[in-house]
Order: sequence, then structure tokens, then C-alpha cells
Amino acid sequence: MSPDPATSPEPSTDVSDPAMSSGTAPDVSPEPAPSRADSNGAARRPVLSVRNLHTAVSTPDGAFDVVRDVSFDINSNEVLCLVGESGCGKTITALSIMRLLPTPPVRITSGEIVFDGADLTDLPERRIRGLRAERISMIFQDPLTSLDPVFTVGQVMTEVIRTHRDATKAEARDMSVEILRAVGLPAPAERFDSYPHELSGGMRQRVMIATALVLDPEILIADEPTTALDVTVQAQILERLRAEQQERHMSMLLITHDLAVVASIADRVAVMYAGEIVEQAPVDELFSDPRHPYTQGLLRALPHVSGKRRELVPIPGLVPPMQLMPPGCRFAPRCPHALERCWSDHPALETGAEAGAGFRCFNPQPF
Amino acid sequence: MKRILARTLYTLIVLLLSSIAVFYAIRLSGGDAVSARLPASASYEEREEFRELLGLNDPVHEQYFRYMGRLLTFDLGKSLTNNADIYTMLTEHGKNSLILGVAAFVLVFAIGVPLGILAAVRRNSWTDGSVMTFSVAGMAVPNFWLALLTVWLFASTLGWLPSAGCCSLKQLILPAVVLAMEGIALTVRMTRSAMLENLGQDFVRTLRAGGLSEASIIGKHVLRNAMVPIISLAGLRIGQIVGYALVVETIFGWPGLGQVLVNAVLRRDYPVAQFFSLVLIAIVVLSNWLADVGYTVANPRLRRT
Amino acid sequence: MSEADKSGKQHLSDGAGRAIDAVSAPGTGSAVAARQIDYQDRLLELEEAQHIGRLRRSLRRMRRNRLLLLGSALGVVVLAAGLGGPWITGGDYITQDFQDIHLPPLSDGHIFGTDALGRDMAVRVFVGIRVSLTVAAGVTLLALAAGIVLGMVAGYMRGWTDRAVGGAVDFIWGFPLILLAVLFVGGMGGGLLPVILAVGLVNTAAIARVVRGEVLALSQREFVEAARAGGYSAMRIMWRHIFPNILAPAFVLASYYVAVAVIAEAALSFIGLGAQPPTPSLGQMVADGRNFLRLNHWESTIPGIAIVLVVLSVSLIGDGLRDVFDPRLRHEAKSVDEQ
Repeated sequence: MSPDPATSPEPSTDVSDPAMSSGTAPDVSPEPAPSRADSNGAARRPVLSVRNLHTAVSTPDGAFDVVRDVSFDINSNEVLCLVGESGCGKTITALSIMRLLPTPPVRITSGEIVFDGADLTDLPERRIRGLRAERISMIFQDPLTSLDPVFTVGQVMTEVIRTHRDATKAEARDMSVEILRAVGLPAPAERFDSYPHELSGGMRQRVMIATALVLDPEILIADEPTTALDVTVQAQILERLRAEQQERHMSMLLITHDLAVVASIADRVAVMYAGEIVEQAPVDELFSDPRHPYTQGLLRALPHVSGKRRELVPIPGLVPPMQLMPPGCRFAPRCPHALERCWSDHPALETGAEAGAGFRCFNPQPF
Repeated sequence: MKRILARTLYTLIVLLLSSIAVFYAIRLSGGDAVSARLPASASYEEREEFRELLGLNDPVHEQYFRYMGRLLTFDLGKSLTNNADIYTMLTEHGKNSLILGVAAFVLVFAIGVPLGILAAVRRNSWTDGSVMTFSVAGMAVPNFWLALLTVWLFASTLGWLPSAGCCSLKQLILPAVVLAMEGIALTVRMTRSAMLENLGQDFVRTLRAGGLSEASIIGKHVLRNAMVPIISLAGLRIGQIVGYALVVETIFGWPGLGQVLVNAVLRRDYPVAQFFSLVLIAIVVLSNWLADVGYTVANPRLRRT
Repeated sequence: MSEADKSGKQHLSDGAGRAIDAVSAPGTGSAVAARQIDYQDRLLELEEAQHIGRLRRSLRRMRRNRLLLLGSALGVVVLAAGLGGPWITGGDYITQDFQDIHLPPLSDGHIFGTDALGRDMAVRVFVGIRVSLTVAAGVTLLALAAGIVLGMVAGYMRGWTDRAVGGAVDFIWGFPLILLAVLFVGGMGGGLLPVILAVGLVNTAAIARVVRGEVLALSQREFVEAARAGGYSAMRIMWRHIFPNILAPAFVLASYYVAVAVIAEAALSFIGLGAQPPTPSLGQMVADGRNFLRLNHWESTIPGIAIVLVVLSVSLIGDGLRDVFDPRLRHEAKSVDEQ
């Protein structure tokens, strides 16, 4: 980890500098846990701030940044969507926050992840474990393989509860059944004693959500929670996630490659490409006025969004592989508006109209 | 339940078929047994009388049913070599084999599983390296050779343990360790790879995201998952122990079922060979059945189907 | 799947094959377009290099694999000893010489010494290695041929054939080898033939199990289904499409079972049920020497070490081959790629 995260390759124009994005004090959340009462109010404060995060994978051919200079805030009581093609570093970003990276070979090389006044990147393992599920939870893409097959739903939930709280088995059971019911699992008391293989995909995802929410965390990170599910179930799960987020005044980081999901649930969106955030904006703004050519390309590929009928235009080309990363703008090889400069200089994240918004492009075009 | 019933049926069929196979095989070489027992000077009449005495002149299937009937009434006849009652041999030698076999079986898992876990948790360290080297050596060194080495070291040279005999605890140590060695080596490898495979599963990440300690994730969740294939092969382990007992009991002069069978085969004592062949086959088949039931019970994915 | 979702997904996950489109992308100015074309060329080159690299990597893995290297080196030594040893030392393993019994190793004319009957240990060990390797080779060839045929029949026919063959194969595979061999000796009398048959039977079952599994997996693959849909006969599909694909796993497994055969032969000969005198067998020599363990331990230790070397070389080769060819062991690298 670099000794001084401020000396990032991106100099002054970084819009998501904490001082500017929160609009309050330059120090990130000096007070302890954000209280739920005022988070319901108008002012959104960052609950978690990612600053200049670099995460690298070491391979036999050398080390490559899979996440490069990523900065964003997750504000209280909002849904931030991280969008991008598979392999663009969304999952690695999320796992960096949870400190669940497969280390080695993947590890955070520099940057800060500030939560509750502490930098998660150098918190001791013990304290990170205390935060998981208790204050920051995560659910994963494939509910079929993500649940321990030889323990019942209830055994695992009970263990999670009792790891963090002083609860009797009976209390843990009551808490579990209650949350299972809340996330819409039919016959929760019976399901408590079920093994994962006895449940459908949608039911398993509800179990994973219930386990993630049972301790009432401040942040839920959901990594493509609906990708592996049937379409009808997808909608139900998303609706449930949105409802829980609002009822609990919880913040959510939702990772998806599906802009339809983004449109239905997000408050703000960060678009990732080749390990970088290329554009960040509130959801309405992003859909109505996308600035980065990649975002525009994504939207063109999506019919019927915001009522407009557009011709379906796929973005030509491939995501650049790690070994052949363009030195300038990483999107230049696929960009319809690329300039000479885009091949040599690396664009910084330009400041947008609002804090927590911006894009990386030398030659933005109207959509 | 259905699975257990099916396995039970399969086990019974296998027992029936192998009893018939053993019976016919012994009958095919039965002529030899007669000449082996009688002096070369015996007349044709004497031979025929002997065959008649043993019931060898009846059709084979009749002999089979008669034999099975006698099995059920514990009237198993006598050894051709020392006239010992076969049923008495079974109870005496069976007890000795049981002691040795159980000791070896316990050693296999009591040593193999913890070593495998250790190697998996410290993978690519020198601990892992030495455990795996031990495991490779344990499989490359044939048990009769290991038996000689241990006898040479602990009995002849150091004089700590007796080189052969039965049935004190001191006499049990060497044969039990030698009998268990290959099983230990295999169990170490299997445990290690099953642990590593399960450590890479998605559910481990989910458990970590739940804030569970590594101790619980590895010692409880991953271990329980890793035990599923190991338990499923425990039946095979029993079978292998039965097989190697033939060699190890012979070397250490441990008067068990294996030694009885090997001696009977060497001396063409066919009533004994036939009966103890059946006994050992039955032990192998039944232990496989038992392990299968255990596997079904240990694996919730199979239990309720 | 909704229309929007489907197209979005398809687009986001796809991209290969569209490289050419980039040429027509309206880049600003021909210089930029040229750069984009150039970049696409480099991408294709990289992809091609990676594709070729796969074969080369597996060769490199083979060369880098220390187990395989060590095993092969040891194997060459063992093979040379077995084949060339008796020739160099004269090959007389029968002549007894009661003047020169229990000679220690490095005695005049007897580098490994002599045994209780004054026979030259070196010749006997080398011939013993040859016997051991001959039995192992015979068993393995038998098992490979029978195992592949049985496995393919069971895997491709399915139904009752599969259930009957599969049941028998499972039973024999799980059956203790030594016990089976003792039963065979009981039925057939002593000698190497019952040993070869018993070990061959168990190894056949082991190979048949794996081949059957591979055939079942392969039958689901597109190229087999395409061939079946194309009306090709079962024989042709088995021979042209399935057989070539099961050779590698079958050989890897067979190499592992060579070690099993060597150990089984030695153990049975040790307890007097395998090779019968005067054929020298390593196991039998260890048994002969055990009575003189305290004073003349080399009569047991030298053939014993020979057995361990033979077993070690074949099992190291087997392990090394599996590391090189078994894709499951490359899991770790793969899961990182996918992140």
C-alpha cells in the first residue's frame, strides 16, 4: 500500500475527493456510526468512501491492476449501482471493500476505503470480521453454490448471529425466522431446518439476503444478485432488496451488468470500464445525458429506455486484456470519437454538475 | 431411504454371486485338494472313498445348497491339516483380526485426517511438503517391506518391541502401524485435496462475508464438506485393510483370519480356504455397504431423497 | 428473459468476432482509425499467441514438472537395470555356489554380494526387476485394453448393459486386491498367472470406471451430439469422436496402476503365493533374506530398495502426468482469470 494515498496518478480534478463530494467537512465521517434517524433526511452523507483504490492481480506475466484508481462514495440511504461488462473489476472492487479478495494472487496495492472513520484496507483481520454481516453485508451471484451444502439454513444463520451477538439459540432462531419471513420466504419456520439443496434458486437467494440482513447492517453489497435466477424471480428479488433497503434506511452497492436493473433500482450509477470508473452520475442524469462514449454505447444497446426508441447499436470490439492495456484512454480502441490525444494521455475523471458525478473523456459528445 | 434399500439389495446379490463363484472355483481345483491330502500311493478306491466322504461326487449345486445349510447351523466341518473345528477357528482368529483391524482403522483416520487438514491449512509450506513427502513414501513402500524395516529397527536393533506374536498391546503396535500405513498415506492425500477443493468453493466466501472466524470456517464448515468423500471411501479402507491383513498377519505371525486363509491356500486345505474366503468376502462387502449407508447419512443431499 | 435484458446481456458479454466492425467505427481522422486497426491486430495476435500457448504451456508444464522429471530419470535407471543389468552381469541367477554364501556387497565379482545359496544378488535383483516390470506391463496392457472397451460399452450403451457392467466394475474396483489374488491362487494354484489375472482384473475395473465417466461426459458434448444427429453409427462415433478423447485420462490412470501391480506382485511373492522358484522375484528375495536380517541385512534390503525405486519411479511418472493433463488442478489459475 502506498504510504500516501493522496499522491495518486490523477491529480487535481478528481471530483470524488472527499471534501468535495460530501459537501461537508474534509475529514470523512468524524462521528461514529451514522444514526439512522437523520439519514432519512434530505442531506445524504457518505457512509463509505472509496478513495483511489488500486487492486492488482499477480500473474506469471507480472502484476496487473484489475481495479485502477477507483473512487466513489456510498451515501446513506441510497442505492449506488456499479455497472459494466464482466471482467471490468466490479466484483473485485466489492471484494476489496469486504476484504474478501482471494489473496494471493489478488490484493489491494494502494488507496483507502473509509468506513466509520477507519480505513478498511489496513484494519486488522479481527476487526474486519467484526464488521462483516454486522455492519457491511454482502450477497453473491450464484445462490446454488454460495450456501454451505451440509448445514441447514438455520444452522448457518444461527452461527452468524451468535458470532456477533450474545444470543441464545432460541433467540437466534426467532431472529432468523422473522427475517426469513420478511424477505418473503414461504413457511420460514420449516425452511429454517432445510438444507440448501431442498430450496429453489430464488428461495436460496432469499436465504442469502436474509442472512445478510439479519444483523441489520448499514451497507449491503449485492454482487449480481439476480443474474443466476429466472426472470420472474429476478423482479421479485430486486423488489424485495429495494423494499428492505428503504425500510431499513440502509445503503446499498448493487453490482450489475444489466441496465434494466439499474433503471429500476438505482439512485446513483458508477460505470466501470477496464478497471476504472469512466462515468458517475445520478441515475436520471446518466440515462438522459450520458457523457462518456462507453456509457452512451451501453445505452444505445438497450432498447426502450426512458421511452425513447433507438436503434440497437452494439459497441464494437473487446474489453482490452490486461496484457495490452492502452496507455491513454482505455476505451480509445473501441471509441467512435477517439482523438490522437486519447491514445497518449489518460483522461482524468472530469467534474460534473453535481458532487459525486463526473466522467473520464477528452471528447464528450452529446447523446 | 430408497438409496439405502437399493444398496442393500445390491449387497445381497453380490454376496450370493460371490459365494457361488468361490464355491465353483474351489470345486474346480478340488481334485488337487484330494491328491494333496492323500499319499501318492493311495489307490483309486481310496481316492473315491475320500471324495465320497467329502461329498465331492454329488452335483455341484447340491453341494452348494448342502454347504449353505451347514453354514446356517454352524456345522462347518474340520480342517484337513490339523483337524481343528472351523467354527472354533473363526471365533478365535476372528477376534484377533478384529483387534488388529480396528486398531489399524482407527490409526488411519486418527492420523490421516488431522495430517491432511494440517497440510491443507499450511499449504505450500514446509509442513505441507513434509506431510506430502511422508504420504508419497507411505504409498511407495510396500507394507511387507515396511514390516521388515520396522522389525529390523524396533525389534532387532532397538529391542523396544517384539517382532512377532499375539496378542499383547506391545505385540499389536507394529502390525497395526504397518497395516495402517498405506491407508494413512491415502487419507492424508484425500483429506488435503478435499479440504483445498472445498476451501475454493463459493460458500466459503459467503461464510467469510458472514463474519465467521477462519477457525469455524475451516474446522467446521470446510471440514464437514471434505469429510463426505472421505467417509464414502471408508468402506474401501476396511476392504483394503482386510486385504493387507493377509500379508501383515502372515509376516508378524498374528493369528488372524488372513493368516488362516493364506496358510490354507498354501497347504491346499480347501474346506478352510473356502470358508475363510467367504468370510473375508462377506466382511469386505458388508463394510462397503455400511460405508455407503454412512455416506448417505452424512450427506444431506442424499439423506432425504 | 425480457427483450431489454436479453439484448443488453448479449451485448455486454459478447464482443468477439466484432473486431472487424471497429474498422468501420467513425473515428475522428484516419490516424486514429489506423491506430484502432493496429490495436485490433495486436489483440488478435495476443489471442492467437495464447491459443498456441496452450499446447506449449502444457509441454512447458511437463518440462517444469519436477515430479515427472525425477520419475522419468528414475524410470530410465530402473528400466536400464531391468533390461541391461542381467546382460552385463551374465544373467545367471540359478547357479548356487556354497563356497561363497552370504558374501557382503562389493565382494569380488559380486557387487551386491550373494545370498544364502551363494547366488549372485546383482543378477537376481536385475532379473527380479525385469520380472516385476514384465508383470506390471502385462497387467497394464491387459487392463488398458479391457478397461477402455468395457468403459466405452457401459458409458455408451447406458441402460441395463451399463447397470450390469457398472455394478460388476464397481464391485471389483472396491475389492481388496491381495484378497482377490489369494482367492485366484486358491483356485488356480501358485505362480505369476493368477497374480497377473487378479491384478489385471482390478486395474481393468479401475480404468473402466474412469473411461465410463469420461464417455458419459463426452456424450453430452456438441460434437458428439452433432455426429449422432448426423446419423453416424454408434461404432463410428465411438471410434472417431470418443476414443481419441479418453486416451489421455486412461493412460494417466494406467500409469498410476503400474505401481499397484508392482507392489501386489511383490507382496504376493513375499508370502509365497506369487512367483515360484527358481524365477527370481524381488518380493520373494526380501522374504528369503529376512531370516538373515540381523547379520546380512543386504539380502533383504537390496531387493527391498529395488522395489521402492521401481514403485517410486512409476508413481512419480503417474503423478506428474496427472498434474500436466488433469484440468481440475488448473482450477486456481482459472478462477482468477474470471474475476
